[in-house]
This record gives sequence, C-alpha cells and structure tokens, in this order.
Amino acid sequence: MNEMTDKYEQKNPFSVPEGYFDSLEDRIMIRLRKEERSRRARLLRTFKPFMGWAALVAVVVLVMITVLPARNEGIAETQLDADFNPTTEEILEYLAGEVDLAVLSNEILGR
Amino acid sequence: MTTDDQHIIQLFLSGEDEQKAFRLLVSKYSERLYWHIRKIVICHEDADDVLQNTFIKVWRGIREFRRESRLYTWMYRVATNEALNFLQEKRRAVHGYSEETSGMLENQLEGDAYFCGDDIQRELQKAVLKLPERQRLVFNMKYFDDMKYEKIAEILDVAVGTLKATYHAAVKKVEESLRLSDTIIM
Repeated sequence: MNEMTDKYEQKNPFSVPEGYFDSLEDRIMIRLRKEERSRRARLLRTFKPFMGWAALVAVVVLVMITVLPARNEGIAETQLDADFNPTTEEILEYLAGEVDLAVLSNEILGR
Repeated sequence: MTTDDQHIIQLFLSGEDEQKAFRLLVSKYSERLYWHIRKIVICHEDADDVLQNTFIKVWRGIREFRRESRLYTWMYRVATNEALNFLQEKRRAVHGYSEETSGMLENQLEGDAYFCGDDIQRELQKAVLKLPERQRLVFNMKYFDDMKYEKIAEILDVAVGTLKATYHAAVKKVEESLRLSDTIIM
C-alpha cells in the first residue's frame, strides 16, 4: 500500500468549475427557498379538495362551541331549581311577604 | 460535537433565525460533503445535485436530529445515502438493469471534463470503481480522505474491526486491478 500511496501521491484528481465553491452557499439557499415554496404549493394542492369540507366542519365546531355552552347553562339552572327543596314553613314565610294570608286561606278552603 | 455545531443546532431549535443557522451549516460543511459525494458519483454535475438534495434533507430533518450522534456524522450519513440512492436511480433510468454501476461510472470518468488527474490517477479511480459499493466507500474515506477508522465506523455504523477487514480487502483488490492494468510498479 505504501508503494501505491507514493505513486498516487496526488490524492484528489477531481476538480470543479472555477468559482464553484464561492457561489455554492447562495445557490443552496436559493434552492432551499424554491423547494420550500413548491412544498407549500404541493401541500395546498393536496388539501384544496378538502377545504370546503374543512370549512363546513369548522362552522359546525364553531356553532357547537358557542351554542352548546349556552344551552348547558340553561340546564344547569334547571337542575339548580330542581334541587331547591324548601320546607313548608319556608314557603309560608315567602308567601307571607307576597300575598295576604287570609285571602289565600279562604281561596284554599273555597270560601 | 463541536461548539459551533451546538451553536448552530441551538439557533435552529430556538426558531429565531433558522435561515441564518442553515447558512452557517452550509458554509461549514458544503465543501467536504461535496468531495465525499463527488468520489461516489464521479460526475461534477451529479455531485452538485446530490449535495443540494443532501442539504434539503438536512434542512427538513435537523429539527428531529437526535444528539446521540454528531451533527457532522449525521450529515455524512445523509450525504452517503443520497449519493448511493442517486446512483441506483440513475442506473435504473439510463441503463435499466443491464449495466453494473461500476461500468456506468467508468464511462462517466472517461468523459469527465473536471477530472484533472493523469492516466495513472485515472487507472486508480477505475480500479476503485470496480470495488463493491461498501468497499468503495470505505476505501474512499480511508485512502483519499484520510479519515480515522473510528470516524468511518460512526458514519457507516459498523464495527472498527469489520472496517479494517473491509479496507484491507479493498486495498488487495485495487492493487490486483492495477497490477493487471500494468500501471503500478510493484
């Protein structure tokens, strides 16, 4: 192998066009930007047929997000009312403030 | 990993200036990767194409780059795979399966405008082109690039012992080819 190394001392027999390495960095950056643009365009082309459906799904999701919580709040209030279980005294006390008890008792007794 | 490489990766991962980080990477590695690729694909135009493809792959993959290997090692791996895949594709596109890759590359070498070696250098290149793919890679990296076995082992993901055996087998074959072509005085 030593003989071979001696004989083929010039190890790199290849060359490049003049100035190749000076412009390489810029050309790679240009190619990168081009690739990224065409990649985005490809992605857009791929998903374009589904965009109408995606918009529809977005609208449905939006409606669900905005309308359903409002309905849930109503349900929550109803549940709160159902849980409200006052005693007879509490009811009578409440009514005493609202109506005349004598009139009410006459109405109940059918007088 | 060198400090520079860490700085480049940090720049990438921070997302602050990916283009700047990439430019640093290109500036640091493009020339050595070019020569690595050039020895595999032989033709300058092909090497230029493969190098650009390599950097595009690096750009897309660097965010997932696992730091257990060195950035330099990983990029060499990407470049090697790109170059070998390119050769396979080219052979299939131009010759179908009718010609060996070595035959195709020998023809390219003959017509390469950017080959500045003498006849003896050309014979050496032809002898190297006759080697099986793995032996050719190892020979190029060890003989032409003077890389340490440990580094080659890291890039090609093989044991150092296997590499040494591969290199010695390659050297024997190259010497034999040269002896047959009568260009080496033993």
